[in-house]
Amino acid sequence: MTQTAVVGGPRPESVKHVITWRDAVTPASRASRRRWTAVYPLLLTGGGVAVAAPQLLGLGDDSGLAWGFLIVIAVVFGMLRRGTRRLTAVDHPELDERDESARADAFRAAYPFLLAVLALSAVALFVVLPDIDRSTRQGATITSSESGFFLTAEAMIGFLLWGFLWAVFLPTGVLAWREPDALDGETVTRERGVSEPVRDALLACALSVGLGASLLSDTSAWLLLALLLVLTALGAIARRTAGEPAVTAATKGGLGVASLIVGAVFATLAVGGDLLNWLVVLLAVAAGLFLLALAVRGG
Amino acid sequence: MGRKPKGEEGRLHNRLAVLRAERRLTRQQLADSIGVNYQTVGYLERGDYSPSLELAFRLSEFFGLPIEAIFAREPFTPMSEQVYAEAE
Repeated sequence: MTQTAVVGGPRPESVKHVITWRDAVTPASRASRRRWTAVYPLLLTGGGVAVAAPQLLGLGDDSGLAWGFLIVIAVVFGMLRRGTRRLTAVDHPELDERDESARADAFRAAYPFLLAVLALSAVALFVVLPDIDRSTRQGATITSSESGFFLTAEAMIGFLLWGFLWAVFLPTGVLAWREPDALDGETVTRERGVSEPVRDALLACALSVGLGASLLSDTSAWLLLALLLVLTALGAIARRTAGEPAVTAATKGGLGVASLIVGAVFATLAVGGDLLNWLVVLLAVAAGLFLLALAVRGG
Repeated sequence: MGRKPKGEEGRLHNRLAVLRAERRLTRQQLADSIGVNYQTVGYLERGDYSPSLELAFRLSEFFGLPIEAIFAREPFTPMSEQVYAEAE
């Protein structure tokens, strides 16, 4: 085995690397990884409730908040994956014997957790689902009748997705919980502009505020907006700290597109005539066009 | 494949940090020479990971020392103490 480069997460100083928001939010310390490992099940549970029982969160049946949860879950999972150098990736060409050993241990430890989650989820289904009588008729005659719990196709897909997200997360979660701190001296993880506790607190605040506003307005738009703002800010601070320009032309282009998408999301909400939503549409579209123009000019 | 020590009893002591410092190597340089991730060298030095027999042999060949000069089940005597004891 001769490959030794590190993919994602902590990197040796010698590797030239353009810093992105992903680096800024990669948890290098065990403490930070543990914090986000603890947050992930809460997000997954919140997302599950938003889909399966939105009335518990005071949401409408067609609430779009589940999509917001899915995106936040993807971001947090990505952070943990980078924080553990994607050790759980199958056939990763850059794993050495210690990485493979840690990965094998993580999968072994994750298995009972997964069984427990699936068993509890199955029990919860039996508790939550109403008892339904179903009968088959041929003309006026009932040919068969049965009673029990029935899952719609939509609910079945949701349940499978729930199990899949847990199955994918648990080995990474175990690794994130167990892996030692990144080594001092030979990593660039110490210079990210803000310390890890502050970074985690900022992200947690953005998620909490965004989630609260999204719950009140029954949409994921505020959650996504808060996430977009804090990730962009953290990335810019990290780049400035490393002596790079805060925002590259490519990032401006990406932000411009993201702003237009946020504007489009709010536009669908503003149809009812809410002035605040129209104001957000106006600001997001203006910011999006301005950023795209800057990106095209290369400024 | 090696393993993560369960506790102090299963801990394998080593002189990797001293040997690496003597040869003025960075973790990255040693890692490149023995074909592992640079972080693994750090985990070996800290005792967070006990190497496989194959990796122990690779280290032994790299430093030109017998395995028992690099790894031991009991804590090593500091090298300075050992050198002075032999001189007296």
